[in-house]
Amino acid sequence: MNPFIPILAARSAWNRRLTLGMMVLSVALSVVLLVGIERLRTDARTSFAEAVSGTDLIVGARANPVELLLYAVFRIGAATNNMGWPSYLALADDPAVAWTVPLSLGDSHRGFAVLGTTSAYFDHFRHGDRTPLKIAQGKRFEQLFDTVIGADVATASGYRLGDRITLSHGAGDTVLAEHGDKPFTVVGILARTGTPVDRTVHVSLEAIEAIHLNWQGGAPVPGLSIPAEFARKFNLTPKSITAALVGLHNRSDVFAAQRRINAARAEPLVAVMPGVALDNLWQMVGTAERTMTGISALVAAVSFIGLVAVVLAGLGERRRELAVLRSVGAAPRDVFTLLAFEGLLITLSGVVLGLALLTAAASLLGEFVLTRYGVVLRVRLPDGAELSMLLAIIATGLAASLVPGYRAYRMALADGLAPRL
Amino acid sequence: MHAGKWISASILVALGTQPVAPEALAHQAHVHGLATIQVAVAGDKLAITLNTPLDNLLGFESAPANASQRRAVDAMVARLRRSETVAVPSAGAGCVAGPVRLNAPVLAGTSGHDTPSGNAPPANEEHANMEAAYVFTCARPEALREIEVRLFGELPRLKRIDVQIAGPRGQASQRLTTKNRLVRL
Repeated sequence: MNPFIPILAARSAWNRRLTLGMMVLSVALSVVLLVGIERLRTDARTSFAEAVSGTDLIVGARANPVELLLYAVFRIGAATNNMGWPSYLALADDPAVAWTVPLSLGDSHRGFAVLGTTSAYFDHFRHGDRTPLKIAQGKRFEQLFDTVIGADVATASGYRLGDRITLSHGAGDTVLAEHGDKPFTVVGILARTGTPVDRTVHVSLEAIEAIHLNWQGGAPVPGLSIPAEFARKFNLTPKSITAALVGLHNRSDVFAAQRRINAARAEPLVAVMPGVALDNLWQMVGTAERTMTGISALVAAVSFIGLVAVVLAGLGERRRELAVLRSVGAAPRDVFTLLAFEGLLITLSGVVLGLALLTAAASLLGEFVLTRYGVVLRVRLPDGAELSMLLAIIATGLAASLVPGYRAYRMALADGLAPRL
Repeated sequence: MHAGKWISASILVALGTQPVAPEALAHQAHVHGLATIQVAVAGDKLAITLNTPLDNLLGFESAPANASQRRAVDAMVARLRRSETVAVPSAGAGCVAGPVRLNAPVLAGTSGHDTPSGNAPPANEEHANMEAAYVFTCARPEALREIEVRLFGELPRLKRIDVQIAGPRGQASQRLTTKNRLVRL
């Protein structure tokens, strides 16, 4: 190949930068769609799987297993019914059960979920590759109105150890009623986990009971106020909890334990195997995922057809340019290479721009996606399936640019020098 | 006492005193053409439990009523007792099958018997399942990568098997069809 061809191609392209810039943008957007959807898919799977890595069963009131898992662990979707405290105690007594962690949801603090639990949570909860929770600052909750907050709660609100916070009744940002009479003290801040734990305010189960002591029918009883210091004198045993995380002595006993719990006589319960429920969820959304990937592949195809069309249309305008090149000694194959090179350049720039856009989107939207959907968007270089997608895009771009290259190759020298008017 | 009140009172008493059978609370899903397999791996033990509507195995779901149905039950039972016709673990793992446990209340005491046994479930049950439990002991459990399920070819009524797995690599769920017969561990 003539060494001047890449330089010529670049300079010629610079002359038509607006048109080609649009083409680069269109290729970039198809890269964003194709790779973005694939990345979202894998990130969602990883995030969800990592948030339940050490739990054998999640037990709650009879409900759809996926719904219970999503609500109890990820706080997504509709709230499930509560299970009775006696059922929880019976569950903890099951000989196959090594440990249980009660979970009680329903209140919030500035949009962050409040989780009522016990100290066992800090012992047994696992995330990622079975990593235990680590308290970055302070200690576990010990007093009734102590709270341990997740890393994101601490960052977003700027709380430090010793700060006093009040919890809100109900979920979300719209505060319906405040538990203002019973403030909590931040005694611990957890290290970041990349799971919903980071966005959670942890208190003891007794504290959840205590803040609702003077409540009836979902609202504070007017005129009745039980001061925080007297709350301890009441029976703070919970009547019900949202769900329980269960660990077994022997992980392979899970089917037998599940069967026993599902057949519990006192209360209709459901024991969910988190790994199985997640796989079922992915099977359910698989069709939607394939549709999305199909649509983005179509978008990519459309942008490459556009690329061919633009370069072909440009050939008309460039007849003179190409003919001049030929007249100064460029062979037809040099012209072919020039056009193919241009197509490749557009595609490569599109891929690079697309990845840059994707990285920017992941950094900008990461926080939103994490808080809203519980999915950690990882900023990273493309790997595995993404890499093969990018290679396919580059190959298609190269193949598409061969079409105008071939047309130019076939053009006669005289064609451009003596254009018909 | 008024008759209506007496009846409702006795129902209340009956509900209060009689234990509710677990089945009353947890009815199994029963879909013809669909079976479930649970795979548990712990140490050198591999446990495989197949649960399927009897229809998938026999084409009927009652105690055998005639000689040909009895032959069908005997053939099916003999087949299920040979683990190699049901599930075959990776050859490299060196798994040896232990005793097979079959559990189908509707067939209680019938296999190889001319008269149905007295403890058969009530005749008004519309559906019946077969549970077959297999336990293997594996010499090299680390080489246990997959299990080939050999039920589809010989059971034309069986269309899909939902597999649940609990093993050293965590929990998972897979779906087997006539085209995809391998459980990947």
